[in-house]
Amino acid sequence: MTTDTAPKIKIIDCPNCGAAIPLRALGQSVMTVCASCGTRLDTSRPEIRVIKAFRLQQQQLHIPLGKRGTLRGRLFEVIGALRRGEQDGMWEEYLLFNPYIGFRWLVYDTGHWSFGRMVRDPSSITTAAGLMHYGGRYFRLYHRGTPQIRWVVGEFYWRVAVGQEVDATDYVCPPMILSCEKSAGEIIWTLLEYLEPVEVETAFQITSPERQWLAANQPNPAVRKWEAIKPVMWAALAALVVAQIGTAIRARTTTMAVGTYDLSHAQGEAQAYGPFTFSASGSMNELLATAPLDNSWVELQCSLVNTVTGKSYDFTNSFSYYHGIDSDGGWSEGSTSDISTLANVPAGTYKLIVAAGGQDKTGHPPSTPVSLSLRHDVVPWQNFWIGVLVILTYPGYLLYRRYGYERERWSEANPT
Amino acid sequence: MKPGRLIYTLVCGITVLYVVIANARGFIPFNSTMGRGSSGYGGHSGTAGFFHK
Repeated sequence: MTTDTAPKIKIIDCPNCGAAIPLRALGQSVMTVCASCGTRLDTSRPEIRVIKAFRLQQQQLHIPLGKRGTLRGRLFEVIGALRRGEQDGMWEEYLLFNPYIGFRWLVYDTGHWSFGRMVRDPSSITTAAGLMHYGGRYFRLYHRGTPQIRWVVGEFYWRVAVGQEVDATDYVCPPMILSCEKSAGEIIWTLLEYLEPVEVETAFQITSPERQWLAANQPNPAVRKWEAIKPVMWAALAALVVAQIGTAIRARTTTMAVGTYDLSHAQGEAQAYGPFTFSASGSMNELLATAPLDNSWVELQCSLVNTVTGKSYDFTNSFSYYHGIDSDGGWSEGSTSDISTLANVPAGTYKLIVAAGGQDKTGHPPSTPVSLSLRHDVVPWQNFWIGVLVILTYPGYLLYRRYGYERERWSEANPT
Repeated sequence: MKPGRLIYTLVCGITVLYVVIANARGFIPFNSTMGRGSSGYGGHSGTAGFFHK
């Protein structure tokens, strides 16, 4: 339907109050309600007749009857509106009509809008593990109730009356709701999709009230943001893995035996080891010190000295190991080895200078020597894990927000 | 591209770039070994000087 090819509208006079009633879906609607006096008229027969006459207090609609608007690329006209209510609230349902498409629903509830259509193939709705499955989505039970029609105006494709009740069950899979209404042996399924208020405002040139609390099918903003960054995250993680694999392939990790440091004879004395050739430039290296300690500690003050430039890299390697038995049983703490990391060391020839000290439980230096070994050009993992942490921080935050949002949504659910 | 996604893309790009460069140069940001002070024994500074004696 376009404004140029608008369908013919038949105007009838209300037999009760004389007001003009436009019939916009003549031939498809079965009844209309006079907007002036609320009289219900049967439009399914050529001779329009009164179903029930009564006075109706004029109600304020968010979208007036007859208003046209384009939703999801299709032009619709509002031909009917009704209010339903339960103990805990009331909402509005607008019946939209396009002669080439048929009827659609626009549901308004506390600032939220949903656009719905009747499910034509309800047999394709299946139950799986307590969820309803339809259209590739799994819907979770959100609400059961018995809403009652409180007010109605305009044309409808079924006979509507104030006070009519249905057993309604809503299943949610944001931004969709699968709604089931049972009444007098009839079961109607409706699929509703959440609309941002601005879409309805733009379509019908109205001002939608501010949204209150969370709607059952309101899209989780964290999910939307997650969907937007997901490809970036996977690409960055993949790039990181490729970079790390490249680093591992390029690394020429070699282990060099350094020697031992005998604390019982040389405590505190500086001893020189090497020379060692570091072939890789800007390499990461490790000094591994091990000793079978028994309730004792060892500390090695080390310098890796370039034999040509004299530049030294000073570092400390220390470890301790204690064990015993107390009222809780056996215990132990510490380690019998330590690894020192030497980062960003230029290529060259180096000597290692070590001065060590230590003490056992008797106050003497440990009797067993400390074994030393160097590993040159090892693969650095710290940068990789820092990168992973940085890349996953924002998705982790979104996951947290998503969980909080869903918890709030489902705290409002009333599935009993 | 929305600002949030743009900022995240930039952060990811800079992070990957950092990892590539840092790995190539053998650099790690939190090297607790080098420059670490004495914890118990103490009094062994100047070992580099020993080598040059």
